[in-house]
Amino acid sequence: MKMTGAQAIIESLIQEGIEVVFGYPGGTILPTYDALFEKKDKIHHVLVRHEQGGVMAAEGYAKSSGKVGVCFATSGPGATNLVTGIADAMLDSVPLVCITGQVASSLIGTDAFQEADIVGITIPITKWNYQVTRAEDIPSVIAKAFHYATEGRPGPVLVDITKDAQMGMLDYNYKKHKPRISHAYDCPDIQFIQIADMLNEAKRPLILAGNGIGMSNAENDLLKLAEKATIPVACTLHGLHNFPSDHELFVGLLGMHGNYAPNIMTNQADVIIAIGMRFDDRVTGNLTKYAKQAKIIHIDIDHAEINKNVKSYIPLHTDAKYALTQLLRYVQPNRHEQWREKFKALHNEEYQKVILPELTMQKDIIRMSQVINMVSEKTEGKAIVVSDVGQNQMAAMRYYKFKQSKSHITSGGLGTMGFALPAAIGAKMANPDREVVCVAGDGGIQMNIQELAVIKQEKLPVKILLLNNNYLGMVRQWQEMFYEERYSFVDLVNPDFVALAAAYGIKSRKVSNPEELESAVTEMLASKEAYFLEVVVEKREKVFPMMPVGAAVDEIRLS
Amino acid sequence: MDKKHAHDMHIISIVTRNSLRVLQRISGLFSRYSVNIDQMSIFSGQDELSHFSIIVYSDDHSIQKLTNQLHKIIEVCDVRVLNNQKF
Repeated sequence: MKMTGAQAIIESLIQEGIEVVFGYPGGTILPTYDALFEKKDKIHHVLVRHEQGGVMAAEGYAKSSGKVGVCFATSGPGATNLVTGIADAMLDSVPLVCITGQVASSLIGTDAFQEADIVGITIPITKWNYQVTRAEDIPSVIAKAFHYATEGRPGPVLVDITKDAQMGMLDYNYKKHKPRISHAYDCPDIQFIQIADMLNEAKRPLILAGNGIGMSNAENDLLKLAEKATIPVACTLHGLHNFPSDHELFVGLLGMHGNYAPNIMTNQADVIIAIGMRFDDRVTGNLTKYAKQAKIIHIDIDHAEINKNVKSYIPLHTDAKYALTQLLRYVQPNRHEQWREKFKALHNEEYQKVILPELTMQKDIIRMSQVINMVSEKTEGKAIVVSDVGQNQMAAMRYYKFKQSKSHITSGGLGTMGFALPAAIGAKMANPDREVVCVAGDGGIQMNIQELAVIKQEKLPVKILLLNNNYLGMVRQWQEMFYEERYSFVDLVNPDFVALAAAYGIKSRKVSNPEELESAVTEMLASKEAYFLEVVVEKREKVFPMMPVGAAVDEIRLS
Repeated sequence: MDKKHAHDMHIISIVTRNSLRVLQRISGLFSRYSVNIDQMSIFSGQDELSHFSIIVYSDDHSIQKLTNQLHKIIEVCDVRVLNNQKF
């Protein structure tokens, strides 16, 4: 069938099952937007207000649905505005296909208007990228793009398409890129038997569950393995929603602001089985003092992660679901009662010293933890919580009790402030029937505040919870603890957020009195339309437990 | 002893599909992992493949991390560290 390159782009997306695209038009991507106009019944285009919002919305869409997120941008500034989101997706393994317009091929290298070498710029932050200069190459390149975005460890790809390629004619024929042979990650049985033997003989085993569990849909397999052998499960930030938080084997969150018990017990376990996680420095703390006593089994789909930070006793380069189902065959039932008691004792200590005081309501101040705990109870842990970066994120992950997977959407690896609001838009587009709560601080919300307009335009009932301490709270905490209280440029003179949200046409309310908090949260959650709730929280709150930089996991502090 | 001679010499042989940007992808990883390229030759054969021979002085762990990442470049077909001797 004869068509233009631009029509081929849209047709290819339809063939890949894409229903939603986030984007922003401009000069060099005009032909594609013209082709999209004809197919707007098939592809819903969300007009964002900044390309960074577009790519982050695509991330929220992908993370909350398991599908590929797609975004469009024009050349030059449009494309360079995607960079932060692409880097974010690279670190958090989010499957994205970013399509950028490029100046006509005859103009490349002439410093033409809105020309930027986006392929060169994004080489280190994409799994793959490619510049198309001929219309006839478009279908095959887009097919490859979707394949590379999802194959193995997912990640972002970028396809840069010159304007003349979009306008040229081709004979359209779409073939999905040949999938990798299905047994690419097969391992011999003996390896699973060996690992199972280690787990069967272990006296103090610990499972570390990461993002890979959710990405290979292995949540139930993890649950079965943990239950069969009665092994405690600790989760990374992105692994948190992959194991029910109310399960007796769940021992909490790993890392710098994680829970007391799993961090300390990491340095007491005799066998650690890490699945779909990459031993990030925020998880391990000081590597030279990390789990030296343990035999570490590391299962990851990315070969380059094996032995990158932590040397493993048994490395296994494979898919989490496959590995867990195989292990389940060989693992024997066990109890590990004494070992599990130790976690409970440490949890009780954290509960008494940190959690209980934080959750106890006071007369004149509201704490972030109290707000999140209230939202968690009122949504029964079933909402999608999209958190930003900083203290608000730490409160969300510590106090929201996740009950199902694909529910905790946040920027983990890159720590991108401004992520939550656009990502919540993407999450709501992918999950119209689930409650989506965006949790942000007063710093981060202002980095992509313009996307409130999208919430209004798309009539998305996203609930925005602003935890306002009029500070860049996490930076302030570090300055207080490690820089002798020299508060260098962290206090913010903020706009009237309630009036601002109202100006965008979004229902809004501000709460500073603890007595009003419950009614405000109830009102927010009951709202059938978007709702912006600003909660004025304690200014000088600090997040604990905390593992200072350079400290070992078992040197985590409760105060 | 200067940095060059403090480390072992490695010859890294890489076979890639011959496409634009592949040199940029490869050299970018070397600089990211702070492995300085001492000598490099590239040969493009009839088979649409490019053959890289790169001589570097570095420690084994850096070379291992670097080669793990080189394998992830889609256009890269093969990576081998050919020899490893004190120079």
